[in-house]
Amino acid sequence: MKMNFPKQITAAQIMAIISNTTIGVSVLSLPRIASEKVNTGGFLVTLCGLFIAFIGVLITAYLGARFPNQTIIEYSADIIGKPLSKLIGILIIIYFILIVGLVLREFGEVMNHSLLNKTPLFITITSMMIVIAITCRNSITTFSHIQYYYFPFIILPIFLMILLSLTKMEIVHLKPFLGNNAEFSNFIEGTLTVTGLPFIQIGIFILTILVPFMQSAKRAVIGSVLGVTVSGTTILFAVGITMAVFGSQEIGKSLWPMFVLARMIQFPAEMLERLDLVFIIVWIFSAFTTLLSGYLLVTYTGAKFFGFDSQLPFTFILLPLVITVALFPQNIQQLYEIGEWVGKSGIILTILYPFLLLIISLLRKKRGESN
Amino acid sequence: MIVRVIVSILIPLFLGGCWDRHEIEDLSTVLGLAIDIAEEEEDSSPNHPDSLNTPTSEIGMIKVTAQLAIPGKVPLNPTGGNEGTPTESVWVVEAVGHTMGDAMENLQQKLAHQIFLGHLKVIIISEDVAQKGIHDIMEYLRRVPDVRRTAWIAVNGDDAAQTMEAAPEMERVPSMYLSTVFKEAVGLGKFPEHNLGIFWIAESDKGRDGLMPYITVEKGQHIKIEGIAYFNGSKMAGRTAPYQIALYNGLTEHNPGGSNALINWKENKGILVKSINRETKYRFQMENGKPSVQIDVQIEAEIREKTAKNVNLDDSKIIKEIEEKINQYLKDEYIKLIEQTQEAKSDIFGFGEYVRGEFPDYWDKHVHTSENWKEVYKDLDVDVGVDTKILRTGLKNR
Repeated sequence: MKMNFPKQITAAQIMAIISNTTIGVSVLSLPRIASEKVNTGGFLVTLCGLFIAFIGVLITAYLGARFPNQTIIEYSADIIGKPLSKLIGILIIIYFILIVGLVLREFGEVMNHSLLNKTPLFITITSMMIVIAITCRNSITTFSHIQYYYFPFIILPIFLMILLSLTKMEIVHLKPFLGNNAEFSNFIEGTLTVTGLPFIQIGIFILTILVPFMQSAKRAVIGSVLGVTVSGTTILFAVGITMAVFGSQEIGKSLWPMFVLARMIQFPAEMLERLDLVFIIVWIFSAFTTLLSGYLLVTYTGAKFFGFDSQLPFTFILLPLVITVALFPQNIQQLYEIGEWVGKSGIILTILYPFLLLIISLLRKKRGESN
Repeated sequence: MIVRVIVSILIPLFLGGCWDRHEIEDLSTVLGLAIDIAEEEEDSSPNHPDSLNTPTSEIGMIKVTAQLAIPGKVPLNPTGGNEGTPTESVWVVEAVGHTMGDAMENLQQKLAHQIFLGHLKVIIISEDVAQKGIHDIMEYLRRVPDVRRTAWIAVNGDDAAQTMEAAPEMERVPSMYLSTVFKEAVGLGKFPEHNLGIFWIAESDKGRDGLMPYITVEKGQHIKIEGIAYFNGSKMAGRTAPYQIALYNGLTEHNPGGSNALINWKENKGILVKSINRETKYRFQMENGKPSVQIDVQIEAEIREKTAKNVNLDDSKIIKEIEEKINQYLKDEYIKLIEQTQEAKSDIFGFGEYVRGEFPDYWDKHVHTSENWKEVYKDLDVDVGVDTKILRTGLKNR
């Protein structure tokens, strides 16, 4: 194994990366998606969905700790053999190109609906993607530093938003906890939809490329547990407060309930009247960090797949592909239909597949060289 | 190196966009919007072919009256010169359409600049519109991203459009004055906080109905809150008297108190009591498969005035006696208000939400929809207990 890259990523940075990645634009629609079938049970569905995501992150972290110097493309070849791992590898790459494209489109739609009504979608999307592609050309250590830097700018405003909305909430909107007329199958379906949300998927998988750059692979487990806990708490609180303020019926009527909540925010005594803009900008940050992780994941995994050592050759080649995917859905309705379908089937790739890899590697007593 | 420099100069050119550039002078900023039912085909809609097939909203043809800010005339800071009187700083335009959206399009037809609803402060609907149903109007307002949920929506007793013409001297922008009326009323405890966003939530909730301030305009000058207009779904079901606003605030724990009650002591001599703070608790029970609610209102109050000469306030027994009297008086009034809304099937207190939350099994089996809840609410057992505590009697002894 070559050792020509610096192993510098700390557990704190892993935490920041995972939190930033799992808090993406899709959180804006999460309360609606979660409460769609189970109304007031939406909070519980979010909790379950995040719990599955937590397990998914744990699996990839343990897998990474077993093979501290390799990415998933490399160690899966060791575990299940080259042909099968190559096949699944290409599926993973296609899957994440789709996911990044869909997240990008969702970001573009949010911008077009709220701030930039007249700007063509293509411009919003392309300019964002160019910035991301350029940022992706940095080393993975730099990538961690960038994510670490953005971490407080994402977490703190969201908690401020929660704090400022506390006075408007009505606990009765969260009751009954299990939802009115909600069946068990609805819960399962809702949970899978939440787990299948693109930002959670990227959050789970980004670990697979980061572990080789960590100071010590064991810390990956600590960092990822911390990361999921931080982002999970943030998302849970944010979904909870949105549901408590609006109630599940009202949530069902708006496209991005949390966005509506962000726009309602007023400081006490009306100190600054249009502060809501600050909270809108936070979602641009969070979209950026999510897409950055997603795009790095695609390019780096792609590079490893074709035997390159860094993601550089792919950063611009994949750009048109991702933008094409983003422009494919005709409207939001189609976007969410495609997104739900792709996301749900992706659970097989991002959670089930690593889980099988872990089991087989345990059975076959395979593990990577440690340093 | 040179390539890098060129690229870094070129990229910003593509990253900036000017599609969404707005010059503030080139926007028709709508500050207030009044919605009436068009009396006849005042203006036939120019945006459709003339045929009988053009659909209309559930309430028929709609007339919108918009109050537009005139750029340069609206004072930007409170002390800034005398730019204009209230009537000069705004321009009132009206348009008629088949639906709300159609009417807004026709309004646009009359204006050179693009309509901008981001600064919409108040929406006034006429009582006719409210009674026939506001579902179609709300549908439009929800869909437009500019409209902010902090805008106020109110019902005007007769003609909504005249509210837009009203020009109080207090503030230089009439709509600003209107929204100040509502905000101050909330601050003083004269009206519950119930703006557009809260109305929407109440309207959506299965076990709750919305309410709006009911206002009247006097002499084109005074704008008075004349009560609560309560809704049954999207239709106005009735209104309360002005004094009942305080009772509603008490039952729903809207603070500060701020409301006065003149208690009849003896021989039409009275004691004026002002509430300071209220605490309200709901206790829901399930008896024989029917829900019932026990409301306990705790009021902290002070005595503001006493015209009854034969009472001395230096005795704590007398204070107790006064408290008892207030309790009885308020209890009767509370029950009266609740019965009034029960008759109209308008659950403005949101009891249904509590029943849904506390007894999901009962709700799922017997209620399920908001229409069913209204039937249940009509016969809901409500009991009110009032506990007043007089904390202060003012500077005067006795």
